[in-house]
Amino acid sequence: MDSIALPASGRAGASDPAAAARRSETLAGWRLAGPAVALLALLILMPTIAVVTLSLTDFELGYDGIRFVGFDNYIELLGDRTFLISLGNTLTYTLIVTPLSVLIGLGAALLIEAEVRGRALFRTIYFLPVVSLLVAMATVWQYLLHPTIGPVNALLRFIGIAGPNWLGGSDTVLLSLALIGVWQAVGFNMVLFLAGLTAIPRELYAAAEVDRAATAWDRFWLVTWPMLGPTTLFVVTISVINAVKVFETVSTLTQGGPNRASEVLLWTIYQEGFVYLRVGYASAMTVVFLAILMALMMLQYRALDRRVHYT
Amino acid sequence: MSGLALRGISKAYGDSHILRDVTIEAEPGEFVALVGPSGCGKTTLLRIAAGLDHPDHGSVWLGERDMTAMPPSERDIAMVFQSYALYPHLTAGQNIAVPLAMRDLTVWQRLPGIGSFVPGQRKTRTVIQSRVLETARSLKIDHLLGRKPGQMSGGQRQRVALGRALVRSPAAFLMDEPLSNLDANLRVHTRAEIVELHRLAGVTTLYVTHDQAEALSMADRVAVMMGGRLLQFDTPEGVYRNPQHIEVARFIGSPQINLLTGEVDAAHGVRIGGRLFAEGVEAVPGSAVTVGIRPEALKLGGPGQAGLGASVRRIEFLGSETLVFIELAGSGGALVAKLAPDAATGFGQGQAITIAAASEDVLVFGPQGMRQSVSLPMRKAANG
Repeated sequence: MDSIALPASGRAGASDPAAAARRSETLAGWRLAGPAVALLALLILMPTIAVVTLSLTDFELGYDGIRFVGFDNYIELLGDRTFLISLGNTLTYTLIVTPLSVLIGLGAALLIEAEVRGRALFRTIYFLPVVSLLVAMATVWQYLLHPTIGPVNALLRFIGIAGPNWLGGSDTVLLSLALIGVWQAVGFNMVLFLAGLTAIPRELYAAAEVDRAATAWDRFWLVTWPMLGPTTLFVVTISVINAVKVFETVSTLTQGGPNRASEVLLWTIYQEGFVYLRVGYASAMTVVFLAILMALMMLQYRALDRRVHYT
Repeated sequence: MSGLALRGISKAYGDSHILRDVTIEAEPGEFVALVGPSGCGKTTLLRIAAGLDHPDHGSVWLGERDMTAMPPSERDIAMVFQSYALYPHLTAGQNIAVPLAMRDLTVWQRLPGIGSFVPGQRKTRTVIQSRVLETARSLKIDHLLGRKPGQMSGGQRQRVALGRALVRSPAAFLMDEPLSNLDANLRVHTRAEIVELHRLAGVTTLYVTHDQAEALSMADRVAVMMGGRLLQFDTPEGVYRNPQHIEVARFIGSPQINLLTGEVDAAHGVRIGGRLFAEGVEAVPGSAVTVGIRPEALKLGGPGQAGLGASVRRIEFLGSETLVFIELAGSGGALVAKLAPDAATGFGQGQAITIAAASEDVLVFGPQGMRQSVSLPMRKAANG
């Protein structure tokens, strides 16, 4: 049998085959990542840079000339009452929609997971609002919530309560929109939680039972809730992003009214940018919007990621 | 201390019968191993003992208590799972403390945050802490209490799982292949430790394993299961030396028992290849039987000596013993003999030999695999 000879190693310089192999590997790496890098730059990085650049100008669609104005747009934002109201309304909306849609989604997932019969049916029913077109469904909600002919108020009248003008009153409009938002988001959250639930090892529940976690309540806190940690973090993140991005219902049902009571960030940006054509100013709002979202996400992951991933 | 009894347990999922009328009664403090190939129903039986599965028929008793209808949490039993089933979000110490916290703290005291304001909580927690530390010390894992399962090795996790079972001094231990995820060295080591722990605690233990060596070396009694049936429930020596069923003989022992097909002649003697091998067998003349001889019971001799003619095919030197692989002349049946290395020096590949066995080492199994007793000693001269 032949013995295998190893060439003397440690030779430095361009002729070193090991260095050449390393270089070609690096090159191959870049070639493989190339398409993704190009697309990321083209579709995400460049538009973001464009928005940030535009936010520093007074650019208006249809007008000639573009002037660099520094942080003037941002300074104007600070004193813009519409923008501040919009910010507050978006915050309120998010604070209602996120916890409700997450909790109800989790509850629905737990109920569906616990019972084998009709699982597919209930999953489909809860998921319907996610796949239905919100703009089309908005008309249904307009009818349901109509102050005089709407079934919701008819039901309230039946038990002796005078129902409010849900979408027309400045006290109730944000709440009504938030409930529609919850209705829409629950199904999606439920599906994510269902996926998270199936990933929990059955043996952990067996161990919990043997360890005297006698009730479903005990086992939920001992196993389900901690094991769902990563899923919950993800669901909350997605829910916050979706809630902050509320637009369709406002646009179709209330147009930000009455009296700016349902003025939300995207609606305000849309108005400034596409109705008043003040692209520079709208860009500044978009940058603020992006900054808020990114700050939220970073906070969430910094604070929670270590606590929900256990390895 | 109480014994654990599984009486007349049957379980089927649809048409597939997992367990058929299995009865196992473990005496108080006894270590019983359930052993069998995968799919024999041993894990299901253990889960039924734990209350995680429910039998279609039969009952589960802990001492004088009928536990058949009790949920696992009320049975006062501890279980070690094959995957360890540690709670990944809790540290080793918290994992071990779970059974005590569930038993000794109220729902309100256990609530995160709020629980610390409920009266009595701190005192109970202190008691639990000291008990956890005590258990951890006995398993030599007290330095790991602050780590989460993800930061521990397989062996360490296994110890934490043991700790979680030990900590509350249960009435019975159930172990589901607790060593199968460990490497070979650690397995032998931990095997001895579990036996030692059992000796100290003296708690009735049901131990499921597919490894017959584990069952033989650890248990007071071994229950051999096959296809949902209990084939034999006996001491390790009993199932090894005196198997009541051919499947038990085949499953227990390594290398496997040698099995030769033979026939019962009119004088109730067993003939292999026409040569008389054992006499006085309780079997119908003319019926086919199987003769089992343990590898270490085979006696090898030179050509011309009494016994069956055969030749050596291969020799494996294993250090403390030598395996001689043998081919029977005529039928071509394969056998293996286990010899002391010195005793094997005379043999070489291809050599013609004869094989024989002492009559008390010959096991005869009937057509259905049931053991037949041999009443007369085997005749030395095999000239038939």
